[in-house]
Amino acid sequence: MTDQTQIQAISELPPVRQVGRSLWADARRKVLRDRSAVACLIVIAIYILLAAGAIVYEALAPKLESWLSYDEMADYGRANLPPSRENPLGTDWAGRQVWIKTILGAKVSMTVAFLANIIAVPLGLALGVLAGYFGRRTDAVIVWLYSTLASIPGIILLIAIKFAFQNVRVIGLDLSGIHGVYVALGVISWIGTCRLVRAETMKVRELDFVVAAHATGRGDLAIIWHHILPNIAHIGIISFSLGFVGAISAEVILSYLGLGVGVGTSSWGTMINSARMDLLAGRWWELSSAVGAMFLLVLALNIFGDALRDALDPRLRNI
Amino acid sequence: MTIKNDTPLLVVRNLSTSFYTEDGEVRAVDGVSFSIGRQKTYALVGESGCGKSVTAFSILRLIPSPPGRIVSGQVLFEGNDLLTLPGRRMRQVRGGKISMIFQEPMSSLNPVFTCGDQIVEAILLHRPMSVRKARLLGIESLVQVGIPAPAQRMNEYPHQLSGGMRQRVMIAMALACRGSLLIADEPTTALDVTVQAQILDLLKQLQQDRGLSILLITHDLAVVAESADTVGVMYASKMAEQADVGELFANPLHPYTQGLFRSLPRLGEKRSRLETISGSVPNPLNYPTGCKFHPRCPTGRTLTRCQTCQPELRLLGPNHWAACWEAPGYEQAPVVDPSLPGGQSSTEDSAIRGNQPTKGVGA
Amino acid sequence: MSRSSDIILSVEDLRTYFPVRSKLLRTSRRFVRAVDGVNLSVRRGQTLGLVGESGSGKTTAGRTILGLIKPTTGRVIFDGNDISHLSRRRFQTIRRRMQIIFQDPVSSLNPRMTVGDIVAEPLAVHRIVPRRDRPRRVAKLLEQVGLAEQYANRYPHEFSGGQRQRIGIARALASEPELIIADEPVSALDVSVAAQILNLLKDLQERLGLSYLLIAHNLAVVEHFADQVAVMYLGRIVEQADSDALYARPTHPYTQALLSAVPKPVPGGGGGRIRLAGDPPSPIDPPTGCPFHTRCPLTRQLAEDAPDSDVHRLLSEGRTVSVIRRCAEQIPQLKSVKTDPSHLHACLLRQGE
Repeated sequence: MTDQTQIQAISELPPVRQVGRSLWADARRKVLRDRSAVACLIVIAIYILLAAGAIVYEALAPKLESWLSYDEMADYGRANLPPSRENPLGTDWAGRQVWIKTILGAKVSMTVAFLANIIAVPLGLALGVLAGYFGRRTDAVIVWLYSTLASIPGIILLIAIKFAFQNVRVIGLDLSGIHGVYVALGVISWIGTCRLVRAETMKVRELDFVVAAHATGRGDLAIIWHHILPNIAHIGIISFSLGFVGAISAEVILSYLGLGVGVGTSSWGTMINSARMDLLAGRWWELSSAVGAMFLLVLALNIFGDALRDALDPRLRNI
Repeated sequence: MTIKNDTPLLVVRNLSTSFYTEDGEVRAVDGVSFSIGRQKTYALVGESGCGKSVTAFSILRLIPSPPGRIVSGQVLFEGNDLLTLPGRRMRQVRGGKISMIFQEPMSSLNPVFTCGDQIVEAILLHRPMSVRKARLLGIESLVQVGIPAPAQRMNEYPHQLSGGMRQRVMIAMALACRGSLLIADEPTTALDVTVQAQILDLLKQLQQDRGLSILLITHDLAVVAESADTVGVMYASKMAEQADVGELFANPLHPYTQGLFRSLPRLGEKRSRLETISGSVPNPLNYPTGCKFHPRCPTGRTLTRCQTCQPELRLLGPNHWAACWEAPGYEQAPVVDPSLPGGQSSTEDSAIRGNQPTKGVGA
Repeated sequence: MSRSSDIILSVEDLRTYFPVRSKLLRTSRRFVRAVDGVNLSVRRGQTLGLVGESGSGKTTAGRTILGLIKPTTGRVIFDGNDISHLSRRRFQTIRRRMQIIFQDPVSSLNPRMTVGDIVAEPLAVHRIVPRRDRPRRVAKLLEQVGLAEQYANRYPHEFSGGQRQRIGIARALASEPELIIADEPVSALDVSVAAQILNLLKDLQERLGLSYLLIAHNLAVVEHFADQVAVMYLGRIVEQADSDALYARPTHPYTQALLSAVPKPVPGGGGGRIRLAGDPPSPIDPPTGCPFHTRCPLTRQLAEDAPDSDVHRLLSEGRTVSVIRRCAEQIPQLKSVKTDPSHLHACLLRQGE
């Protein structure tokens, strides 16, 4: 016995849409409406394209004769030339084009940051959810783990891990170079995400709809997958964007210290390292390129990250 | 005891408040007028989203300014229009002459300060005196609201007190600042029924002893029956009906009010099915044309006039206004500003109410 | 009295204690006695109202019965089977037959799932219908609660409070339960919406033969809806009777105070109210003897005329108050009223009546 008039009156929800408006869609709309966020997104996209282009170039260069690989770019006759029409950003000590090095540096930064976070964020998410959901012993173990790790100063830990990776090869990857950088970063930076996710999981676990899922007889893993994770995923996204910035800075510092990418790879960090003395000799172009490119990317990421966080934070919803 | 004065303490005239959201303008309060007499309780009744809380916040100009804005109207208090007062003088009014207590006593008191600190802070903002005197005044106020061991309570933190006690602390703050009007936004909704009874009794007693006027915002008609002198029923941002409490309960004229009364489960009257008002409250972004209630109204649903024209409040009885085309006598009724009292005798009023003393053992 | 097959749920001396986290070195442990010896029974096809204020333990009792919290001692018997200590796997089959509706329409639905997915979840867990038939079953469930089937694609935040409660009810109905525990189902809703939901629940009870355990603090709602009512105070049942009998002839002083505290929608009311002193005591350190004796107006009244040997003095709200000694020392048991064996109460002072 359904109340027909009731259904009709209730059906007058305007406007009648076929598909519902999910919270993700709402967040996407909010971000796209923010013009500065969109501008930053475009800048980031440009960097991604350049990085992708560099990856393709490096993959194809050995096969195409007219293209030069990194080592072959050296041309000692044209070393240390200031910016001009033929050398848009000048050349470095080995005669390589600074603008090419900058783009290659972008590639390194983007890949390292991406891969480091692809390791760190899911790791932090998984451990955080397990700690927050199961509590007691699981929680105690995981909290002990990250508290111990967190007590060691970050840079020192990174340096230590990099030293340990000196001659290690894992699944075909030489960990003493760039691969070691992002693995090391990944293995360290999951802690922040884990803490946030753990706290949020403990809150979500008490919400009625989770209790309802228990009452329906859903198993723990199913509840975690269907109910907990979707409601803390926004923390993962925000952590990723913040961690991205952190990873870029970390890689630059490591490479500057000579502990980052290997010898044959160009990154902003190595550029800064090799160019630091040049400043005294009046050669500013390599240093400025590297620093400028990094500054622009980090700025764009920060602004976009803030907009993303505001859009995703469930507490800032005013419905 | 205060001297009975016939000029109302607070007059709200044609108040309208809107919120500008990304989906459009939401008119939360639309042309609302009423007045509150001295030592009287005015209850604003309505369901969620009708605009009653926004009205209360607008009186104290507590509407967050983007996205909200008080679009028009006057709020006359002690000869001043509060909406045009400069900021500094408005702050003197807030908490001083007009105080407000809220629904969630947990979040209206700051958890990191003791109750004593918060009461003293409120007192010093409005009545400059030494801190020691302020503390003594605070303790005295706590006694007046019936809190046992007040000196000890001053040093306790909000989480150490129960919900009922926190509400009393809020009321004590209002008293200590010598307010003449107390705005209570759903003060007992979050409390247990026995505690609710205590708080309502307290408010009534304070009204008698201190001459306090109260603007009571609630959705609970039973609370209204017990505590209010005059009632305004709001629906979808507009005032649908306004009357003295006895008259409203005896003779509700607006179909919405009638529907509300019929859907109340009453203690002592068991029925097999509760009567309901069909449909649900409209989306403020998309109010119906004409009378906002017509899609749910048993009479107005099919009438053209109700579908196209919004009725205004007209005086249909002694101090009784309603906004309904089909209400008896509406056609000939005069359009009188509801903030002006419309012909009632105050002696008749108190005879109906007949405040009896409460019986029972215990503190 | 009633055949055992008529009783779908029976609870015997249920106790749920939560340990209070002890400080590092302290050995003695304190407990929150949320449920402190509760006996009740729900008849098939009928509604038992469980009434109490905050701290009474009614919500904890409901969740313990559903197996969401482990009872400390006591038995929960569902349809003749003792389910209090079943293994997780065995409990699965029971879960299908017992469901819950929550108070808060906002937190009871997963905001990241569509309405259709929310309602379909029990169907998937218990494999009630094959996957391709689920949308149709969901549509039928939504229709049963008065919602159009198009709403299956929407998200909870697009609906009002009353509609969300309907979605919650549809979810509860999906597994075709026999008993539904309704934990304050209309407390967070407006009056007119609450009336709609209550009517819906009543209709469903009549059509589907559901039994309800209705947990509420709104006495008018419980009176209207419940067949039997049990009143809880500090983890114990203090009075239990058929609904009519309870409201017409309440015997326990707490029930009387509770009923008199409810504001009546009659202008000028509020006179003649029994005022209870102070706040409910905490379930961590419940008073000795009768849990209500610290606030009971009856014991105070009788102590005024009683001889000194029968009187006990206690401190309440900064003052010394006299109560009858028995009330402070003995724990009252539920005994029936002389004239009506199904009307039980736990008051030492009224035991003879």
